[in-house]
Amino acid sequence: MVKKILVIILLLLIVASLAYRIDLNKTRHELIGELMYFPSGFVVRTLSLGFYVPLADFVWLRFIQYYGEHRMTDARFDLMYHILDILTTLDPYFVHAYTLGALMLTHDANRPDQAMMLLKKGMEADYNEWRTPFIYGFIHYVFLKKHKIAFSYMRISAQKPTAPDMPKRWAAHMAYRKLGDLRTSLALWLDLYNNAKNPEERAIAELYIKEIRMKLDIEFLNKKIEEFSAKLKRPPFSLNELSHYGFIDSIPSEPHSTDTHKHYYYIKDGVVKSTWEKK
Amino acid sequence: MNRVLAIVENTFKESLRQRIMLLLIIFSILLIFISMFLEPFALGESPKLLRDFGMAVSSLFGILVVIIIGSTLIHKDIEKRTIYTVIAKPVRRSEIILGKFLGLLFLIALLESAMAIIHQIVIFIYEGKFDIHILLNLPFSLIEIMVLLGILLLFSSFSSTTLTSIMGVIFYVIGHASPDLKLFADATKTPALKYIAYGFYYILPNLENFNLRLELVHKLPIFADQTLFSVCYGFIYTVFLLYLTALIFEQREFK
Repeated sequence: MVKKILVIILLLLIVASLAYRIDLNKTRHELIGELMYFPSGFVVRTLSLGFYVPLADFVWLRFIQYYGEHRMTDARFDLMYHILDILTTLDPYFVHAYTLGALMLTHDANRPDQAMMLLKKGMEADYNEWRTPFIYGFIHYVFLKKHKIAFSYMRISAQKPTAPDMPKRWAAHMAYRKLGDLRTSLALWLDLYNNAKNPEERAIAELYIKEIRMKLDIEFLNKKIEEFSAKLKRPPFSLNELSHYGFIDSIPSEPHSTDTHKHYYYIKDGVVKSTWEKK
Repeated sequence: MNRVLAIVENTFKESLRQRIMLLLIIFSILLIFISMFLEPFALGESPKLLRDFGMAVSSLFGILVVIIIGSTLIHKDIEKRTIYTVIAKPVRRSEIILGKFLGLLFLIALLESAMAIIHQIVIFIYEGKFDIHILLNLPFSLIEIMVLLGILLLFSSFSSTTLTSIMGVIFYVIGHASPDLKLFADATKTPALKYIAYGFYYILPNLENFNLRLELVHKLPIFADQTLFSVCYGFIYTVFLLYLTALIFEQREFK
């Protein structure tokens, strides 16, 4: 009996060592590379016999191995899009595959074009998902520096029913800092201020609101100075003069003013400034 | 009714005694537990994996049991000649079919329910809460098995065990490829081919109607009317298959 068991163990060991020897001739990514031979995700989906969701999980596990392997070695990710495309055809609601995959395609594979294709596929698959347009905007903002597109997609993301405040914050920030669209940014920050869930969020929104309002005031006052100069053929000596001659009803109060720290607008070198900007 | 119940009980016990059953149970439970340890490889997707694997394993278990045991359900009695004892008694052949069908179905329902409970326990261990939502997979998986068992009984009423199991697998594959058949029918330009493809699509069982795993794991909306139609479809299809089986079985001569 012992002899027989020993024979079985020996045979198993031989088989295992042979399997090990066979794998030595293959690199790890060669095993994953087999995925390349699937013509498309649709074929794999049909072949999965209804088990396409767990199969997508399996492809996800393989994808992570593929990424890790190439990240540590040759930094080539030729098959990355193909694998992600198969995966997202098997499970069109696998949000992580779209978002994380798109970031990897952009950052590691240097293929933002493929990242965009993947994210668009995700947006078509689930219209209500906020994360796919958010990452679309994020990649355009951070990597591609296309701020207008980034802003548009952040706004799209913010409008999704399950979206948190984050995409709206990004959109508000971009509108202000990158696009100079003060009115849109103000509207977004006001919305964030009114719907803030905690005092910290409210305080951040308030900071932006005050700064943008100040900039809008300065913009408005500078326009009035131009009108004044055009009409009276000289610049005004002070803001009071604008009010005095009826160009403005009154001098707007500086939004940063508090009971303890007063701030105000003044004219220097022909343009309006705020005492808050000096600090 | 008592006659059917006796056959149900007998089929239930007989199927449970098969060794392959024990093997499949152990293997399936192991697979459910293994999914707990995939976290390091899943990159944040382990809760999804846990649900997907659990649901898939319990469905796959049912399908394997129904194909392996279901295809031998009638043949075994013929080979062992126990069928002669049964038909000699005042029992209708349709009652034999119904008893066999319900016996195996109850067994699979019981085991799949046990697996669903184990799956819930695994989720509870992992996340500290149950996910009752995914339990909806169970009735739909059972309806799929019902249809498949109907097909197997139909083929076993006139053909061999091997052919029955092959047909079971073929119908399972076709049943899940049905949406592609419809895509083909939509896309083809040849009218004759289009009608043939549509004909096959509507006549052959569409097992994808009972596949809710994607919707359940992503918590997508499941529409009540669609669900109700799928349930009706499954039941009516099974009744049709059992009726056909009974008709053929009634005509069969045992020598």
